[in-house]
Amino acid sequence: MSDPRELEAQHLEPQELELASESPEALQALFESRGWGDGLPMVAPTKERVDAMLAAGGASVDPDEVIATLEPRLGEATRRLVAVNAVLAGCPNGVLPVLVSAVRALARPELNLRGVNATTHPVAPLLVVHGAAVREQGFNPGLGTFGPGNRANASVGRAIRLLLLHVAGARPGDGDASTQGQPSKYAYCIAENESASPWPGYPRSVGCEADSAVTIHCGENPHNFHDMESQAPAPILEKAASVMATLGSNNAPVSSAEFFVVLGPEHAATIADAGWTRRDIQSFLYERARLPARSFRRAFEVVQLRPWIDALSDDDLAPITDHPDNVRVLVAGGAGKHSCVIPSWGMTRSVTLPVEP
Amino acid sequence: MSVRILSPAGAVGTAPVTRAASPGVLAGRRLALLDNGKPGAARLLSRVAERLAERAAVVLVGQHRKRTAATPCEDALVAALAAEADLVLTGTAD
Repeated sequence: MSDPRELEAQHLEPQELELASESPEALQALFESRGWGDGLPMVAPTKERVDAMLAAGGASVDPDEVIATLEPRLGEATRRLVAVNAVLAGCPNGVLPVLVSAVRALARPELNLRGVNATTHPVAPLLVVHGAAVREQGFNPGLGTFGPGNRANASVGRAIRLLLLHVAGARPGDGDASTQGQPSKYAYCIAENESASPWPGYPRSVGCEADSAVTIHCGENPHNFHDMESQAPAPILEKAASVMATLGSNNAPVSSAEFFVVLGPEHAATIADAGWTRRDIQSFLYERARLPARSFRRAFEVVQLRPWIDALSDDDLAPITDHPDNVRVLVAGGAGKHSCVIPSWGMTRSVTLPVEP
Repeated sequence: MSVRILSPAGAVGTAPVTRAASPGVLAGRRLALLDNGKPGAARLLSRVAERLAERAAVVLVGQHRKRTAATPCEDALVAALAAEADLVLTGTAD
């Protein structure tokens, strides 16, 4: 966490700053001098641009209402501040409600943002956009949804990171101890491909019925799995289970942790054509993503929240996560026989919220 | 031409906590250990406590463990530490 004296200084941060010129170089120099930015060029957040971003946000809401307090800096996120960072990131006008809702999700206690930002693990919050907002705001749910190439996916993902750097104080070193970092700490945003999904949209599986929603899952980079030939669910999902059952991710020592399994539409269609529901996939992966209890015992001195493993013999298979509900399934991407697994940081829970201004 | 831009950082919500004053002389001070659950933490803290007892005459009064390193220490445990000790030795490293 930042030094208290520094926190006090940040508390007095001026709302407006003088910039010698609007050139990218001048903005970069100012930001570097203050320890801000993600290292890439940004768009100058002039009052005119920020006002336009706020106006396009729609509803007549207070731009200076504190919508969340983000740890470890305890930065007060307002809509205006979200808009400033959206402008910096190059966001199109209109995405503000998505970002504001994502910020609310980041502040939920079960997400444990303080731990997510402060850990040595390379965890990054993945933002998934669902429903009408995907089409209305130009997100790409199809081919290449993880990037690159689409402005909404790229810039909204980047805006989340800039908010974490500037408002939450997740600067490498004093607010983010990640040993190596990871590429998804620059931008990590996808959209659910609901029109290509054989199952109801993901938010409904967790009780959210809104037309538009956001999910935040704090995890590692995606790990691809491919299956070019199978015409049945099991051989495809065995590969997902193989990716999940690794001792290298935090899901191994933290048995309550979630996995996000993002199925490409072609894999999803093959699985659904056999009559499998989302629940069937969750149950199958819970049953198959297992390792001998001996493996956990040998690998870890500290295994959190898994007391029942003591009752297993060395050869008994122990699940990598302790409930099928911890396996979260959605469809995104385009043509091709690829899907991915996104392991969790561990001591965090995903959050899904409606998009609200 | 110069332009005005808006700060991206904003205000800090809660006043920062002031650090306690240094305990000064350690002789006779009550020391408790707080293991954060990281591998090796208990071993390291115990060795440091032994040295402090030998060289500075602190009195080890308790050894405790958080549920996990990934979340803040439980309120009840913080209260117990405050009641029983003048100093708490802890660590956060992997």
